[in-house]
Amino acid sequence: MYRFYFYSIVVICLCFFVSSMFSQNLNLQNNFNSGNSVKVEIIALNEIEEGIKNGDINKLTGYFASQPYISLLSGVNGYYSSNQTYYILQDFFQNFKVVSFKFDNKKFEENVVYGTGEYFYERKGKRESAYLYITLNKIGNKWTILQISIN
Amino acid sequence: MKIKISKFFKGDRKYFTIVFFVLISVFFVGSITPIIIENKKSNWEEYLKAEIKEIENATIYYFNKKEKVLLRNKNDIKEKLRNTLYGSAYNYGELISLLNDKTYEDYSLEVIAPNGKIIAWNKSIAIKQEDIFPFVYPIDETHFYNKGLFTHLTVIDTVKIQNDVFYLIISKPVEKHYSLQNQYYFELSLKTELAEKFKTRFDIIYNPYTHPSKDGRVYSFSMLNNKQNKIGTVSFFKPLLNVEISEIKDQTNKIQILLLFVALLFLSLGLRKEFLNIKLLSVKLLVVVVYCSIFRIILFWIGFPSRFLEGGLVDPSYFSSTFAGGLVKTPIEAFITNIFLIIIGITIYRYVLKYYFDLSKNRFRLIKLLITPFLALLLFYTLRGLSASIKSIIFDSTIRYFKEPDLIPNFPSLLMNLNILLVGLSCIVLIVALTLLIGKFLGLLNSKPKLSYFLLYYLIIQAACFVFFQFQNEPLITPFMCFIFLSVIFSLLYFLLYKHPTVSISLVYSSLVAAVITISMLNYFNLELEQRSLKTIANEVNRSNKDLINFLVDETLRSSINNERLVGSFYKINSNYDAEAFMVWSSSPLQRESLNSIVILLDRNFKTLGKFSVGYDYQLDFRDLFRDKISSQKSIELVEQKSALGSGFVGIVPVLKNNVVTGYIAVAAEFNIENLGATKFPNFLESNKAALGSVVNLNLVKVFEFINGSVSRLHGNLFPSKEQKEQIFSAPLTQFNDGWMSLSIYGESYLTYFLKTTQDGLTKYTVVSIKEKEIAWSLYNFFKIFIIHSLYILLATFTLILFRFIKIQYSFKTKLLIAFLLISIIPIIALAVYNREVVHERSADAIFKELSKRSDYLENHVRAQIYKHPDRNLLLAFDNAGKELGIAFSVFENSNQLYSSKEEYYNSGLMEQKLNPDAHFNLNYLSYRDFLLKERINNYYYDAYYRKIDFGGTALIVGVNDALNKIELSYSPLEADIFLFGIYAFALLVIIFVSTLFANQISSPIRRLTKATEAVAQGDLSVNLDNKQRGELKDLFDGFNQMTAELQKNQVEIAELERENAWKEMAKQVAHEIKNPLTPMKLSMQQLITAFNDKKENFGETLKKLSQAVLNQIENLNLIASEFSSLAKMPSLNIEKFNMNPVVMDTINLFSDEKVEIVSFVPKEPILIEGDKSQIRRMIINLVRNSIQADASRIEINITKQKGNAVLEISDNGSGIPSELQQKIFDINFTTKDKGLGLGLKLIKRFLESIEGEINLIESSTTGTSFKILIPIKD
Repeated sequence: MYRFYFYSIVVICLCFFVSSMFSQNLNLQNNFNSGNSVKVEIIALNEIEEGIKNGDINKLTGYFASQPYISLLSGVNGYYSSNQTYYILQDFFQNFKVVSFKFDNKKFEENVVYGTGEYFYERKGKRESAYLYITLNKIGNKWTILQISIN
Repeated sequence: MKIKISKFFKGDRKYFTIVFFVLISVFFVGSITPIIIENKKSNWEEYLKAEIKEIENATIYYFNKKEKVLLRNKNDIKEKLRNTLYGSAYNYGELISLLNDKTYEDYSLEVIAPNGKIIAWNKSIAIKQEDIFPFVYPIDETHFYNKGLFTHLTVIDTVKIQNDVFYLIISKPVEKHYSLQNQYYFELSLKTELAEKFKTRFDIIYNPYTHPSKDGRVYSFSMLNNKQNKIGTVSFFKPLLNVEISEIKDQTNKIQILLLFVALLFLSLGLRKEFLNIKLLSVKLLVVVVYCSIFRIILFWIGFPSRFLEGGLVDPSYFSSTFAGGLVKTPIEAFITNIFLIIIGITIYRYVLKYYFDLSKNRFRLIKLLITPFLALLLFYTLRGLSASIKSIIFDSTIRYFKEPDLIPNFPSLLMNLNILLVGLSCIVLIVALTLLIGKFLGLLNSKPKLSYFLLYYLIIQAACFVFFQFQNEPLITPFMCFIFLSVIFSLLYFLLYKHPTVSISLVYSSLVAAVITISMLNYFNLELEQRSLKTIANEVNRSNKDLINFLVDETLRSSINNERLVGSFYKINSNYDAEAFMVWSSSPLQRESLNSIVILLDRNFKTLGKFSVGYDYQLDFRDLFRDKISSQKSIELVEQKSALGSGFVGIVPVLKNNVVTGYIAVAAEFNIENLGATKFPNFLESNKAALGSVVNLNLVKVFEFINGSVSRLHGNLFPSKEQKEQIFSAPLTQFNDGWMSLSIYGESYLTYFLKTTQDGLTKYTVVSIKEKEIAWSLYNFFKIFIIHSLYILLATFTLILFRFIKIQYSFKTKLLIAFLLISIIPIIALAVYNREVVHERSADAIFKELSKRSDYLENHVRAQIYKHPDRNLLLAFDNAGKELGIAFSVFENSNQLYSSKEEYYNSGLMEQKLNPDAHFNLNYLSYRDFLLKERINNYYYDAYYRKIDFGGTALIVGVNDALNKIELSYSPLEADIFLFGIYAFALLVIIFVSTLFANQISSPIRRLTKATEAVAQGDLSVNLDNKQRGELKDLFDGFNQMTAELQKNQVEIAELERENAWKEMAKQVAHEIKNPLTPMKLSMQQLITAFNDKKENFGETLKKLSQAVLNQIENLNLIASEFSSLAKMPSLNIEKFNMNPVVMDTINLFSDEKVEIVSFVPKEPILIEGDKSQIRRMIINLVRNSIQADASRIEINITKQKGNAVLEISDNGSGIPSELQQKIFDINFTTKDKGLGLGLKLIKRFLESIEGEINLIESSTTGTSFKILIPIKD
């Protein structure tokens, strides 16, 4: 009987372990390994658009500057380290689930790119929208996100 | 059956059974969730109806409760008013006191005289004088009063005094219509309260003339007042099925998480016994590390406790690091991780201590020697890891530990401080453990290390750390810091090795060391952050470009035109447009970004209806600006406006009704480099989440912006010289087009960051500088955090005392310590309180003087104008004075505001237009000249100074405050508090330390004497006090030693005498006893001789008879001899059954003041033996005394159970017994001591044998001796 309990517990724990593994974000470990250096600003903006549209923070991570400026509907406002930015945006995408997003205005300059678009989201069963403003800056050969505002 | 069940669940089986059933419950909860959801879906219609009804009823009940409180307070005040206003004893002061009572501070109270004038009021006015009459609602009927920034629940009642009717208006704010993002703002909203209570969105229209919403998703009902009349309409979103389903899923998920957590806890309990049975410390340690790691990861995966919390603790914007895949992604996750780290750290520390002081043979020396470099690397990497963690806590956080506005900061900040202490403590104990291990492996440290070896080891570690430091690519701290930290850690090590504190006490000391080291690191990395903030400032200057301003203005206009309340205000005739403009501004990103901005509401002819501006001083001609651009469409138009200091945008949008323009909403904003970081904003409006945070004081920062080599904008009062420009432009740039340099300005060194960018084809240099001396280590910063850490350590110490990990004995020492502490702490506290009072008084004086000085300037300026231009209007004179002097002020006539230089703050209702009632009473009634008091906006308290001035026969009151006029004090009261408390907290710690030291030293001889006396009482006369005392104590010790020596000598003499007497007595007795049989024997022999001589006939018979008599007497003699033999045996033992553990512990305690460390490992469960307690005590005393006499500094006494025996192992690190003598130690008369009798071990052996026990010498060498004693257990 004792063995029965013991093995049952082991099996149940294993089940949980495996199911938990599947439910986890497998990319977690790779979040900051992305050395993606996109040279063409249009592709960069498209990839960011794709990331926002899917609420996929990992697509944006490679573009974070060391200290981007973030201003969000949730009240977050200021300069945050790239580490903080990752979790702040992850939290935001979880709480303000994106329904659709598209840049409706893009402006390209030599070293700076701006984009604005309407961010449609769902929160507690209700759909609403906010405006997103993003600035990318070319530092060295890399385009980095200097600012994201969703208000 | 019951017995069967209890037997079945005995031991660990019960825990595993619980785990099993809890896990089954997890599956059960998971499997019934779809059934609940299905059930909800199928019964949704019925459920919805019931739920809506329930929300409606609960809302009404909730509102009625608020209403009842209002009415109860109204009746209460009414009653008091009657007493106050009645008769000749009427006193205005009492009336003011009544209305300004703290009980009613959340209410607005107004008393109206029969003539319709407000005669008394409290600090907030809900209904202005002009709006009181005619009453909209009947007397004593509650209703909502909507105007300006608040909606109040109001009731008006009459108070009849004789023939006069007074009116009392009492209002309670229920809705605040603006929001600010700073620490002073607090929300006040009935809608939000209801939404949080019922988990759905609420909307309340505080107006009786409204209709229910036609939106099908919304349910509306009327809100009725105390007379059942409609006063408003409440609407709420009907519960949605998908929201309900996700709520169910979320709830069941949370239940599963909780169950899993419980299962994990019980699993730990179930495995506890197996863990305790593990013999090898290294395996035990490995199990703890692996188990804690797995437990932590599982908690992270299941989201415990984050899923159950909201707010700052789970907000990554406070702190988040990507370390370990998110295990420290929020303050609470970091805390949980640190709890596990501290468990691992303390376990390592305890096991290493156990191993370190283990007196068994040191084996595998070569292997140990070989792994020391790796251990040293681990030690240095732990120090580096601690530095990296503290750096992350500073850089991956928005908490400014040294700039928190309160002495005790908010909860997330407090938790992060605890995290700092915990991570510090876990690293420090690990470093100490590693240092001990390395020292032992190298042979430099042992249980009794020589000081010279200890110092040598310290130097080796310092040198190795320095070498390690040189090989690091990016060292996080300086070599000097490393040197200091290692020195502090070695001081702790010295304390551990030479003072032998308990583990709990050593942890308290380690916490103090951890606090000092981590705060120093925190301070150091904060300086780095301050330096890096120059880069952030440069980024901010570049971020706030025209595209961003354009976006922000556009966004503000877009949300304004969709704001129904705002648009609706254009159709009303008595709207407070200033308040509406403020509401637009406060909820816009302009407030969040603290930008110089203005919101203006215009009528269709571009005439200003109302406005609110902060820092925006330009006059805007909208008709001119938007000529040809404004259409009758609902479209936003923007134009760029450039100024010398920055670039800005002005935008406008028409407000339409039936496609006809009824007015305009206009917004303008600019980024003005002078207002960088909102330094010019009033504190109560400034966004606490402003982009630059509060890393450095922006007033100390100089910013130069160059476009194509020429200065374009400046922040600060410096203009760069030609040389400085050349120095900047010639400085080398990094690959990111930026760089750092030291710039000399007016002989002072400035730390400078510069960034090169290109914009619209122009080359731009942004240069940010700060005096190097402004970024320096500060003691003030250290103490600010040290106070919090000290509180944590004190709390932990009290907890340890409470749970008896640290035992406090009310001994002479404790009494002495308490006396010392009382004598020193009471004056310290008195001094601290006094100093605090003095500082606060001086601060208040300084503020008073500053505000009074501003009033002087104003008074003189206005008087000068009137003198020069006698016919000048006073209002114009005030306006001129305000503009020319740059002072914000208000002027009151009687109690009504006549003028304000910042009228938008008063007109909008943010500040009161009615004179503060206290100021009114003191200046107008008591005729004081001036008066200083505290006022507040939200939770922002400021000083307001009022002065009564006569301007050409008109008595006016001028009000100046430090909310609109920033006053810089050299030390704010808060800073002074922190500094004082920090200094005194430090002083207290020093006092506690020194007092403990003195109390220990003074009481030490008394304690030694007490213990020695107890030992003598136990029969240990060999005790001898080592006498290094002076004065009376020396005499006392000498006397004691002499006494014990005399006692010992007397004991021997008495023993000898007793023995002699006994022998004499025995001889007498023997003689007497022998005599008795001898007489009959003699007689028998004489009879026999006579019979032989007489040649008696029956001689043979006589011989037989007399021989038998002689033989009988000989037998008697034999018996007597046996009895005497028995008499000479050991004295009889007092055999009883008892628990040997307390007896051993009590005996060990006798040696607590000897210069030997006795470490005992005694099991908690009793060990019952049969024996003589006093013999057991004597045995322990004998063995311990032998060890002490063999120069042992550490003795280990270990009691275990083994195969039905109690095993008592006594090991020491003394000089040992020579191998040739080891065989003889249990022989009688064997001794190696000069004064020894050689009986001790023989007697122990004999005693043990008498109770079927045994004693064996396990080993003895020059490093120590080990005895093993076996005594049968009698359960």
